[in-house]
Amino acid sequence: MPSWKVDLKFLRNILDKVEPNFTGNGKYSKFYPLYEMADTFLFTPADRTQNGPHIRDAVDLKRVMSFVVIAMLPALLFGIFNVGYQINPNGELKDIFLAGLKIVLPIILVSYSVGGFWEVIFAVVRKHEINEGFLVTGMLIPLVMPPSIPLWMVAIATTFGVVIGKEIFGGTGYNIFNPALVARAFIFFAYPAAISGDRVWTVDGISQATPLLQASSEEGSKALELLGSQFNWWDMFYGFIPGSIGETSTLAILIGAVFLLVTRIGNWRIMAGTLLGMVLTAKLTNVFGEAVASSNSMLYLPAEYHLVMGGFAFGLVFMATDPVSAAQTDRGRWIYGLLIGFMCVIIRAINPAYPEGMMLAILFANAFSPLIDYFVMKSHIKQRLKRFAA
Amino acid sequence: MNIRVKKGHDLKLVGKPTKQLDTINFGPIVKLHPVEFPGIKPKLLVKEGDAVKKGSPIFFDKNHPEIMFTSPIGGRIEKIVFGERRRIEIVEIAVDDNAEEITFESFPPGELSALTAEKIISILCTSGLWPTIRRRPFSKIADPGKPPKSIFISTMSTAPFAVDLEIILENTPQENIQMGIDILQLLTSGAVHLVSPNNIPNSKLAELKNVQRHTYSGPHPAGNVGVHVSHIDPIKNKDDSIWYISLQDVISIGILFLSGTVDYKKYITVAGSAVSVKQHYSVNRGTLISQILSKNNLEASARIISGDILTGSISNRDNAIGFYHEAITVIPNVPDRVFMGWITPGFGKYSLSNTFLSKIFPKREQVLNTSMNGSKRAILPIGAIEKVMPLNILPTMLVKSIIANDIENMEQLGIYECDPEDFALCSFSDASKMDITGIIQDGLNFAELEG
Repeated sequence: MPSWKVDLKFLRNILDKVEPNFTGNGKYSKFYPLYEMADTFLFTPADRTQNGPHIRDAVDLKRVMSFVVIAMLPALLFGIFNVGYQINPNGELKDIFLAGLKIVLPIILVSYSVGGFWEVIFAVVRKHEINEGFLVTGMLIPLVMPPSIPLWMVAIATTFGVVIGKEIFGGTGYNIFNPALVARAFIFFAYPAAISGDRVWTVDGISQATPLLQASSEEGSKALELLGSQFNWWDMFYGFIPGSIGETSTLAILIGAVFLLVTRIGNWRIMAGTLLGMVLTAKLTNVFGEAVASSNSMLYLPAEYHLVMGGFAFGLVFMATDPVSAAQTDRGRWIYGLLIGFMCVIIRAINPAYPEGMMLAILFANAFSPLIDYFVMKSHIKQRLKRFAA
Repeated sequence: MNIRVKKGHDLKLVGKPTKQLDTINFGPIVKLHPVEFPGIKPKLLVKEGDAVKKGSPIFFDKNHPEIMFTSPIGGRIEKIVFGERRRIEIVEIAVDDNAEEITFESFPPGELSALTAEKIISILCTSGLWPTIRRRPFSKIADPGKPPKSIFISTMSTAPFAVDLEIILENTPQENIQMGIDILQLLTSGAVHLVSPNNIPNSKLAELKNVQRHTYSGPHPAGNVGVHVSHIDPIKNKDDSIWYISLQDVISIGILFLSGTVDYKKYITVAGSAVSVKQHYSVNRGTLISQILSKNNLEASARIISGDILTGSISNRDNAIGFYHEAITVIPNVPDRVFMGWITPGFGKYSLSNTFLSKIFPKREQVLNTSMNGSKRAILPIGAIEKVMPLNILPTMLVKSIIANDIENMEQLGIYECDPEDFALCSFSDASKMDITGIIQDGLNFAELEG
């Protein structure tokens, strides 16, 4: 298609023509990061290798980050559907979808525009490129929000997540906590009523409890009894339940997980560690609950239910695997994962005020990941010395 | 022992050299490039217009005045090019085929009892062959005064387009190799290790005496001397030292002591997707790349690399082939600016990541140009560089400690075992496009000063 080619050449020419304005003493040289963003978004960069190795892998951070976003698409699409479905389960598919879109799309727009705004401000002030990491954060934030969240809260939370969670540490690559989780934690602590409590799912006047709330609602009962017939396992696996926009469908999330694992962008050690930690701890709490005949309903929740309820699956696949805030050694990644799985079940079981433990578990493990790496490093150094002694 | 490497990657690139071997003679000009020897302070022994013999010393290292760098051919000093702060960049010699040759004492095979380490060192240093022996850590010319705990001979690189070991062996009398090994053995109280690929069961290697033989298998960097050293006799600290040398230079040393004449020949490959004739050549040190490529057509604006595609240096036709280099690699130098490349399916893209559909045909050889294929970003540890790091090293942690100038961590994490070439695939595969080989070199420079 020649016209297609002409169009591209035309685009390239425009970019090359305006480039001098953004470089050196150009009029808008301050805004070079914006030019760089548009230029390298449209065309792969012109940079050449300066020394050995003279060739480079075709992958770059733009591709890595956009692939993470692609991995989230099943969860997003299902989330849009499910929001509509929870409002009116009997509507036509198109109407359900539109109803969902009407609620979800503004949240995404606010998250990307507010986050993008801060990203650009910091890039211009700090004179560095605009980092693709925000493509991921900007999508993660809406997906972990309840659909009932007011837009102004999304804006504030995004600001907090990007500025306090990331930029004050030096931007993508230097942050200690996952910025999207920081955003969610901010809402959790600043506006608890909006994200937990029994009014969490008030959308268009319809209010429902999430399965996790339901399962922990009554002392002296067992979680499965409390779930009763209202939430069966398959419903929760498919995701036809109230919850945060992207978190309800374990199936959709698993599709994303497979994509991340096949492309090797998501670390399998972290995912496996988290899953294993959760299963082991859940078994432990089950046995413990029975042994002491505890009145804490959540102690009795089986592992396979932990998997499909609340934010566990979403956190495991998309939050725990954030390479920057996770442990950065292979052995450390196992320990980090195990810690998340363990903490998630423990918080869910022990903390009656807040049954959702995944967010806090990951933030907790984020805080510990430098320490985990430190110990892995120390044991590596010890092993090195041993090798020399032999 | 067989060193079995699992973490690494053999790059599948278009442009492999054939086994065809031709000889290339000196052209009218040869050049020496003192700047290519890291860590030396060159001081000239000649001036423009001087007549030199084959083997005449041209310059020496001020830090080690005994180490001479000699002319590979007789002739006249045509030109000396100085760079900033009178750094000697090029010594140009006009070739005179009738000029004399400097000769040395020769020794019959097996009768080396009269030779002491001191004498060997003195002959190697004056002949100009000493610089072929380098030391780890730091990969600089070996210090003649500090004998190593062992010496490693590397026989074949696993980097793309390496010289075929079988071609070297077919064209070399056994006694030359043996003599070289015997000489090296006299330089160390430890062992001389010879490491060859395990799929080349050549009888010439099997018959060698006075040497410990090892093999390696697996993908690049299995052939790197750093990998061999870490398995056989690891570097423990800054003052530890091993020496290493390429098999071809061992042969030159053997010839020197057998015949008394300095042999400047070596086998090289000319390869890469941007050059028309890809094959093996026999050349002399100092030969210009224009001479080596004289019967070859290059793509317009191709990049000429002296050395291999991973670790070589950018060169041009007017330069001589690098002293340590055994390849001339030519690749396209025009990065194509792909429209929205970050989201294309990527059938024609080469990647160790699984984000391109080209992975469906993993064996297909590809043409790679000099594009960075992305912009530089902060370190994003997704575990890609660990997959190509066979050394007992935590690469992400080491890189971070170097960036932080944390000398204690650097040392504990094994900086002295490292050489930039061992990290070439890390640089290659890193999605953040960090210059990891450069960072490792910075770390080594820092550790050498401060450690």
